[in-house]
Amino acid sequence: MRSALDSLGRFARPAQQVINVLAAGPRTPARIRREVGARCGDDLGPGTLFGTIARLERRGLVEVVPASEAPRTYRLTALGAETLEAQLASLARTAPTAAPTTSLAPSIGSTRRQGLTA
Amino acid sequence: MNTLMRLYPRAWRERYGDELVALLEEHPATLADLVDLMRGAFDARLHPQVPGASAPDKEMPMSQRLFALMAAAGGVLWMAGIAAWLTAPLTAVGDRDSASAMPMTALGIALMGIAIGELGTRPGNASSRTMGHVIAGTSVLFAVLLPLPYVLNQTDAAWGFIVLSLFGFPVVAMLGAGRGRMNGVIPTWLAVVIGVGAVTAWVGFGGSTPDSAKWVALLFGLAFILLGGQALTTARRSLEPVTS
Repeated sequence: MRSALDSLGRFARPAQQVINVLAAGPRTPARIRREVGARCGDDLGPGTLFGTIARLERRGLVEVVPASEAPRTYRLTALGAETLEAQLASLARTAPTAAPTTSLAPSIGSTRRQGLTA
Repeated sequence: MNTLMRLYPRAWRERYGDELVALLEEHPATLADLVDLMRGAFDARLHPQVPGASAPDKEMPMSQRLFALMAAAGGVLWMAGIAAWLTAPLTAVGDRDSASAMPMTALGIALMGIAIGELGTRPGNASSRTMGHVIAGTSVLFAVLLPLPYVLNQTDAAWGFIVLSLFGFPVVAMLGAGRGRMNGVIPTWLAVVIGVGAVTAWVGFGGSTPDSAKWVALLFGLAFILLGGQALTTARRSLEPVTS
């Protein structure tokens, strides 16, 4: 199955990383950058980071947390959470012996419980 | 950093500018970040993700900025060429060695000609655009003719080409300035300055003009620097919101 992120070209990998980080909860761009660096070792440059956020926002995968003060914080939308779940499920199918990244699942669940599906 | 930010479309800056500044306050930009920002700006213009980011009426057209810079750069090259020519050593026959001045002057003519042709065009008018291209093309032809005898090693014919180019181009520039004035895109005062500059170019290259007076030809280059500055300023002013 083609992922919604596949069409993003060179932004596909940063988009995946941003979504992974946001699965743990709302983050500011600065924190997203820091956590992507800590988790993946990739240094998302500011141009790439905002190019990625703009694409994800336009596709309805992330959104600004309403009433968040500057700097804005972003969170996954329901569609973004579904996309991440689908990505993980696809990964689990293609690599059945690999250990699933279960740490993300509860975060997605909690994100959805926070009312993002509305 | 402000210069880099200006590379992004206005709509993009309005949406993400504050966040980008906040990010850079926390993570001071490295050289790699600056390169990434430039790449991001290019991407933001090529693939606008923010609604309105590509609206042409909100941004100074890239071509306008480019032609304004060409006018200014051409003016500088013209002045540098004149200065190089007038300070060059005299040859055995009493002429000045123009080897270093020639490429700068030729390139200056090409840039100035393209700029005056395109900046003088009435927006949205196809025939005016064609005329602009004709002026630009003629100027480039003059620029090519100037060093051609030297490139072809036909230096006996050089004087004719120099006269044709250095006296012909100011005529084209005057016509271009007048046309821009009639199209309402070049102010009268600037068209007059370019016209006076063209006359100073003729005087500067006149055979009977003493060396000390030849420097007056610098004014022609200065006129084009003013043209570049005026084009940039006008375009920016037209983008500013009207306040009542």
